[in-house]
Amino acid sequence: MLEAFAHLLTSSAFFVMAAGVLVGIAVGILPGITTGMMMALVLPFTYGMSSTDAVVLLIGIYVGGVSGGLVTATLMRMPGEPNAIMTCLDGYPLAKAGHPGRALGLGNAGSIVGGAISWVALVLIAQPLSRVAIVFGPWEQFALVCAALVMIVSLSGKSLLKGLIAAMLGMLLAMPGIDPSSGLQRLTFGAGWLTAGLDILPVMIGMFALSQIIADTLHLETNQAVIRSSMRGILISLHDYVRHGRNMLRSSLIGIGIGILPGVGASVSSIVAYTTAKKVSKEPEKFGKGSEEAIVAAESANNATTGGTLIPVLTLGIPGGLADAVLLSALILHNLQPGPMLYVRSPEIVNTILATHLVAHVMMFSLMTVGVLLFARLMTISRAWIFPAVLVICVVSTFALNNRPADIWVMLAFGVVGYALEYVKAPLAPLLIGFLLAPLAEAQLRTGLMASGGDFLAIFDRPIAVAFLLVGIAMLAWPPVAAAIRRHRQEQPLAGS
Amino acid sequence: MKLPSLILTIALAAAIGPLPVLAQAYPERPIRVIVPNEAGGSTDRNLRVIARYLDKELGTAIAVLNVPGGGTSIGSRQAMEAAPDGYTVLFNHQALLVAAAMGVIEFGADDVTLAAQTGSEYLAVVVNGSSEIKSFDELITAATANPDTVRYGVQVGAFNHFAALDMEAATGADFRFVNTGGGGPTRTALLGGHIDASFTTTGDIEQFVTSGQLRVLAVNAPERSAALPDVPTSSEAGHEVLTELRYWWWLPAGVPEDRRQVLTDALRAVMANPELVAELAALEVRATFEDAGQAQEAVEAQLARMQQLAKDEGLR
Repeated sequence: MLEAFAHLLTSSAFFVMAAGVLVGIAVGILPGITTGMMMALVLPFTYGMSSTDAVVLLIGIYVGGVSGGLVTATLMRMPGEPNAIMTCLDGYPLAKAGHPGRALGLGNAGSIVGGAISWVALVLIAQPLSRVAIVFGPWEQFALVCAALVMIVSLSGKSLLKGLIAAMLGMLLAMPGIDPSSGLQRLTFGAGWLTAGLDILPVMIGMFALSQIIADTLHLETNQAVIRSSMRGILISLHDYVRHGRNMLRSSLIGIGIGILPGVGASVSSIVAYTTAKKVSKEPEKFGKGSEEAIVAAESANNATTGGTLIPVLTLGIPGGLADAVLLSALILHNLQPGPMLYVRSPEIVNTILATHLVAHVMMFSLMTVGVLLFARLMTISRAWIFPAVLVICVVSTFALNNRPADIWVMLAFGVVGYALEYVKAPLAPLLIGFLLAPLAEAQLRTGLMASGGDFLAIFDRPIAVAFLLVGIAMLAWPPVAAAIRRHRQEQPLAGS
Repeated sequence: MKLPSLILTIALAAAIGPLPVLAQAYPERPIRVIVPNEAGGSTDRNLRVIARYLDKELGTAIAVLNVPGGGTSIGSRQAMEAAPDGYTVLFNHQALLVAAAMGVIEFGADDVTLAAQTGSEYLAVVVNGSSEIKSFDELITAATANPDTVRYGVQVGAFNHFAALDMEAATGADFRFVNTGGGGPTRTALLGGHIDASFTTTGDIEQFVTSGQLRVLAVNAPERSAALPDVPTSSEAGHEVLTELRYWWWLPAGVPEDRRQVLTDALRAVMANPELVAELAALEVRATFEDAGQAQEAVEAQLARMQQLAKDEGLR
């Protein structure tokens, strides 16, 4: 391991990694070009490299990509990657209130702490944790997603009804496409382009970025005053680290835990970390309006997920998402078979990956700190100049995602939908959670049912699944119970006096 | 000012469009090859390996474009609807025929021009390393004697599902199909014991066999796999089953015959290149080649077979 660090810090590999991290951050900033896509594009260039350099480059992109999303999410409410959704919710309000430096600084700090904690898990307990990835079958994943769906309630804001309507709408929007369990088309209305269903990125870019442009353009005159933004706070103080330490640790552990599960991923982990932070926060009312805790939670979790997902990739050769699949592809093309024997046969490659994961995080933190100084100035430019550029980026990146023209129309339509929803003060977060989680829950439930021959009760044979369901029920039941207890306590002294 | 400024913003963004280019000699500009899958998958990987040789052979760049979604139907449709000038090509395997059999895409001989078939992979049947099923014959016997009990992981309505249906027809077995998705998630389900058996590609399985986590029962191929020399073929194991994934190159219908021929000839030349053959072999892909005529017969036969299976099994 020390050798791997030494190699990374003293040879040309350092520059390869720096290039990777820089490319990764750029990709993270631009919505539509996802980390996985960029890694696939870079893959052919690695043929001529040594296998070490290839791995270093790809891990650099991998780490940079998760973090770059923070910038556009905070400054333009445009999530560069799906895992930056939750960062939008609080990063943008804080930036708009005149603290873009602070918002980005908090996110950046969360990112490096999350990355570092997940690195520790990756190095020390990868082998035992890899068991978790395979023990989690369809029932466990279904129950976990159900428990996560309960979070819609706490993200609904003032009106639970509006939150539930938004969540149901999100679930409905996730239904068109090819039914995963029968292979047949459903709700496609004969439209060929709908057989792929609605992709998360066009929906998200429309709902957050475009709807914001519409809203701000309609009120351009009143918004003319340039926001006097402060660049201060890009490097947060030691005191801040201490204050947010517990939140960072908790969110990172959530990120690692969810990252291990193949197919669940960073977007879900940041949702869970965000909601958990809100639940335990002393100021839950600030969430969604520029809460510092929220930014820290979301960014710690999505960076911690990188370490989590690398665990099954390295120990089992199981990819959690597209980026992991490309990483595996790269190993195969360099004649390194990923899988259970990788640690035994190519320990130097495993060590290189581990060392790069940590050093790339440090590199990412430094590059972001410098870059953020430049990016944050965007907030001081009149919005009228920014909007056309952002709109072009929205359109181009939506198309670049899957090269499907229909995605552009989906993005534009959801811009209007997002604007309409905000106009009637319906929260956007539950809609996205419904949209993300419903297909996961459905697919896992139906897979479980196919394996059990249609027997619903099979879920009770799986203790972990039952535990998750109980957690979900407890989360639903706790607020009314807690309120009753509070009332009871308040009445006691009255009765005594 | 409010609304016009919004419209102007949108119009500015929409005013970027492709410019038509008139072509003479073929190929005189880059050729776009659509992969209807995500980057990083096996189709994408195989294409990118071949493309590195093909661009030298044709003397023009090969631009690989990933258009995923809808069981490969989105990318395939995009390629079929492109201008028939030979500059848009589709690279796909049986997934397209399966999508047609499932009614996800309208597809027939008139909708496309087949250029060639290049490369194929045979699949193997695999179980968990601690499974009680020790041989291919035991698996088939168990699934025949106790119908609908042996859990077989497939992606419902995709190629591995149809291949498993074909295996049932060939052996008389009756599996309980479980929708576990593509290669990666299916292997995870197998490692965790959530299913009993599934197909696997042979290139990346050897480690799991060495570590004892998985056991390969048979390779559904005419001869043994170089990566798994100890594993019998299905016919050696007593049941003749072939499960072959074939890759084809299609052009939109109406592409001039001479351009189609240029592509076919170029593919024939690169597939004979020993360097490419070795590179593909390392990925456990056989460097097969069939010209348009031979490949067309195979495509039609397979499509008919899959349509029959979809009908018999009541899949649609």
